[in-house]
Amino acid sequence: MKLLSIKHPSTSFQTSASPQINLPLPVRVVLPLVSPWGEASPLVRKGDAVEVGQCIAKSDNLLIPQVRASVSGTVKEIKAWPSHLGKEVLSIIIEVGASEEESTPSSQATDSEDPEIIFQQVSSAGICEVDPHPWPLALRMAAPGLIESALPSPPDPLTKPIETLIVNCMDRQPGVYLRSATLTRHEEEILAGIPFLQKLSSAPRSVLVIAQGQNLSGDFQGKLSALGCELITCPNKYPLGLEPLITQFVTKREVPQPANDTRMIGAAVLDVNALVQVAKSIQAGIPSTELAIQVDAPSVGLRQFVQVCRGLLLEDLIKNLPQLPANPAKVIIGGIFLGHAQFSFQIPITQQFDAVTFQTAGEVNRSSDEPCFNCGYCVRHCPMQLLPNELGKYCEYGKFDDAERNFLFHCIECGVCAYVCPAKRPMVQLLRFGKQELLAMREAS
Amino acid sequence: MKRPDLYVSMSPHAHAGYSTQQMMLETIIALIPLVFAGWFFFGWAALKIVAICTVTAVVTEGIWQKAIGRPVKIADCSAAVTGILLGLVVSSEIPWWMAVLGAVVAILVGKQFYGGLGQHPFNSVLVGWTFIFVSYQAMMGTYPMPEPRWWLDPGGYLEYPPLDTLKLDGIFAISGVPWRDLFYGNIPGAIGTTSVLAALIGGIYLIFRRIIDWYIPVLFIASAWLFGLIFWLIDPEVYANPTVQILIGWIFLGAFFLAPEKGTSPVTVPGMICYGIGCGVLTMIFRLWGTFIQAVPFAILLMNTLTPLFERIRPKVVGRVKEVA
Repeated sequence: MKLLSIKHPSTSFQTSASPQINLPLPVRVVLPLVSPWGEASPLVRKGDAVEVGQCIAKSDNLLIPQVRASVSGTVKEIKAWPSHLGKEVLSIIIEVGASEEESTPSSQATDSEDPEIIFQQVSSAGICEVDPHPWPLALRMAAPGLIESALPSPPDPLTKPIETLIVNCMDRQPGVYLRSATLTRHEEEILAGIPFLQKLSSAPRSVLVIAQGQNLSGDFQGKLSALGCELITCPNKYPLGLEPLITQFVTKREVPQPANDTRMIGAAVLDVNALVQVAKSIQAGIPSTELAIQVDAPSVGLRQFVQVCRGLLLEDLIKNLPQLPANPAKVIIGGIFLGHAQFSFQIPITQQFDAVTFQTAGEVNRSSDEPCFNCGYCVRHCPMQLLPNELGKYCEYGKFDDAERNFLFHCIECGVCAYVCPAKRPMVQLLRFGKQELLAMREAS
Repeated sequence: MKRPDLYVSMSPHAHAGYSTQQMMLETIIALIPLVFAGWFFFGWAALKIVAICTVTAVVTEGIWQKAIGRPVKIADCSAAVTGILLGLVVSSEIPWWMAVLGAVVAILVGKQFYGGLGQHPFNSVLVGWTFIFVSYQAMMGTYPMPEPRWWLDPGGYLEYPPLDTLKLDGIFAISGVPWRDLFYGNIPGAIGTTSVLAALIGGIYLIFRRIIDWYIPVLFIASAWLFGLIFWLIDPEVYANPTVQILIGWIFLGAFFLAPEKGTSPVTVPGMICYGIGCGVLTMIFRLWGTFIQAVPFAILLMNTLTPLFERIRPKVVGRVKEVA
């Protein structure tokens, strides 16, 4: 694979961000019921009282993760609410009740060694990750034996044994340091979580991937190797931290595209943040409901890790961070390379994103409608070795079939082509447009 | 409820900050050593020709874009690059109107008729050059003697550019020319084509700044040298030393500035490799057995036509795995 040249900024690691702060409980939270795999059906009704960690929506389909209440209070409404992807999705709106005493977890704290119980715990914890995955966490991490007992006829990739378990501690994109920060802050949870996953996946090889330049204490490294977990250092470059590329880096095998399914080549990749949540959930016996995000506002020099409760609305976040610029021109959820710009402050913060960035008018990146002049920069940088210049032109002029023949669906939308384009063409937009059109055409036929 | 005024756009929400204009400005910086070498060896007349070409190219592009109602984009400096390069590949003794004619053809026929920057199939500089070369062969073929400003002794060994001498008088006529003169460019020839040193400085700058990849220039020069070597080994009485062949003008300028022009050269690595090798081999074929003395421009123009074919040789797309399921 060609090495890429977008380095993460040198101020990469934990030191650059001020310590994590906790936000006070908001008045209400909004919990979307939709996951990338489908919609869960609500278990509560309007007016019901809910407790922290209570399962408020689930589905018979094992693929769809459960939704857990992140606060105690009463269900105010169940209705469609805008999500960070721009669509309105069914959500449960909970009004936060008077802060009660720490409700003791009703479920049993299990320190079980039994993979079956670990599987149950992980799949009921309602953990949803930042990276797009073809399977939810529990199924992706589970050995074929467990899946066969849970799902009557499991899909093919899930029947393959897991050979490599990869814990991804590479920062996902330049400017977001959540994973490297987690790595230094939650060493204990990571060490506690790895054995659970080793048992769950029954993988003979487990690997913790860190970025070059990240310092780990010798103590941590010793304990890791005692767990039989290898430590691999990866160049601190974007987009190597994305799942298909990190898998290729570790296993030296290409992840089949466009399925983007690491299970097909016997690898299971896990975000270190999810690992920490798994560890917390299993150790406490109650699903963890916390969520850490990074808030950035380059214009005022703000970079802060914030501990929030799931479902917090963007406007409540802004209210609690007075340092933020008064009139942001653009609010991006999910980081500047992979995130989505928002049109409203009413978006709930879910587990599916890791960062919120506030840009002022001067910082907004504007693309142009200039034609491509074949400089080849995008070809030089594309991690999937596509020809983005050609694909962009195909999509621009409506030649979607040609684009598909040239592997449009292998594009992982990392955004490097648009980042380097001297003509500032909106490459990701063009390619996504092409994909949408093709999917619509397929559906229609 | 009123929605806040927010920009909404697709990811990525950042840019490397690198623009077409910057890229062209870097190319102009890389051309400075060549312009300097032109002035150093051929005097103010050389600078005058370069300036005429540059101004004409920029003005032509501006007028054309205005006339057809397109946004005027002379600020991206691509016309200036074309103009400077055209000035560098002609003799400093051509009349001013010929330089103007060349620049107008280069911009209009070579570039704008196809839709502007990056849309043209042939190297725009060489289109303009070919036009005036074919039309006014005699005038394009007269080159002044180098008159270095200071320090270097005038070459004095050659009356005509070494390429012409080699073609017309055979290899013994140029065997007395020291390689040092060939390398510095202290020989008769077109303004910017004689100095290997200057082209090398500019070219290495371009590669270092990542404006061009090294594949095309390096393989161009290497394949020309190897091809020359084969025939030199076969018969050193008839074929010139390959090192002399690559030093006597055009190849270094062509390899670093003309062949890798954006839009007319392949963008995939295998394509670039084939293209570079093709340019080098064709150059030597034209030189050894062709009728035209100038081989590099025609080799590059011919390879430009093959660019779409070379772009079909592409790297294997990541993730195209036989799905074992």
